[in-house]
Amino acid sequence: MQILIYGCTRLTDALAPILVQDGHQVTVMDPDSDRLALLRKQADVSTVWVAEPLMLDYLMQGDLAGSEAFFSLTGDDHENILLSQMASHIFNIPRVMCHLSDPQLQDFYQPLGIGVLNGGPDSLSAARDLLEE
Amino acid sequence: MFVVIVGCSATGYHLAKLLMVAQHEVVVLEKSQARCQLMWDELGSVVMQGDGTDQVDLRRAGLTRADTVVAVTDRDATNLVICQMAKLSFSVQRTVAIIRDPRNQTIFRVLGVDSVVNVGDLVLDTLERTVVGSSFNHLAYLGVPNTMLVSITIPEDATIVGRKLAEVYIREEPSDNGSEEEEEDFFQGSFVTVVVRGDLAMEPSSELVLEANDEIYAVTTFAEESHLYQKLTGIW
Repeated sequence: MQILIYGCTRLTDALAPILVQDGHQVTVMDPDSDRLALLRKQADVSTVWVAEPLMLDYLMQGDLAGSEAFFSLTGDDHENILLSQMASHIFNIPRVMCHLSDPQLQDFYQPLGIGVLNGGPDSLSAARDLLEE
Repeated sequence: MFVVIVGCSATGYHLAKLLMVAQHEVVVLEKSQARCQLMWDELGSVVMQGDGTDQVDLRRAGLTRADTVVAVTDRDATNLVICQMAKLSFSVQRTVAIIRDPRNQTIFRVLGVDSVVNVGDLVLDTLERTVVGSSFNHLAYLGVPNTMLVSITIPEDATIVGRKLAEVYIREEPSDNGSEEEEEDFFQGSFVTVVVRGDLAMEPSSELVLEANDEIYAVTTFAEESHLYQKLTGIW
């Protein structure tokens, strides 16, 4: 499955290698080129360096439209909400998940049809479950 | 009207002042303690310290009975969250958000934000008019994406003066093989809605002969704007 991940955080470091191991084709986007380089050493992923968060253009470069799943895993809850809703409502990506650290935002967005990863220990299995659906 | 403004930057501050002068009930929610302290001196007790994406703080600001919520923080994503919470948790009738990145306009609309004010485009419009000189007056952005209502006064030296309105809609294609001139309808989404001459508003029939200083009101799109402008004011 072709998967696009926006944001190279600790959660990405943990999740991306597992997804690659499961046989998925993973692309990771982030403004921090050093983090991307580190991740590339750990796992066989393609990376897109976001020089400036001019979001839509870069999402195209990561081939969002052709992706079957999208994860928004930046450290910023609001950014994740914007990106994941864009992926699901504008690009019609069937499987979308975002990382939210604020419990209030988790409660609010879960019923709106966006997969929420809370960053806790069960995040990785939740992400894999989504891809198996 | 009861308006809750989230974010007390320059925009939030001036908007609050305007609304208060116009006798509206206003609450300004601002996250930063330091900023609030400054604003208390200026605006008084309408300024509340709180997080506009926190349901408890929103309730404290009176969102359950607010008529309008205006999100003017400096981040597009935050403004989206504020509007979605106002709409879905508090059933606020009208939500307004400011955005910096014009590409966010579509997603805000799709997600149900009632009015999106695109700061970037507004600044560009004004700069364009100032730098380039006269161009269209952009009167309103319509609900349809990329579509707007514009007006222009026809200059005296424009080719269109003395010609029928129908000719505005025609594009002459340069012909390569010397055959007769090909004419093609270039308008996809733009058309003249009314022509004002002196004190008279005239229906834009295709037979209407245009004169200098006619004021044209037209609907157009970003893609066709410059072409329409050339037709109405240029020499061709």
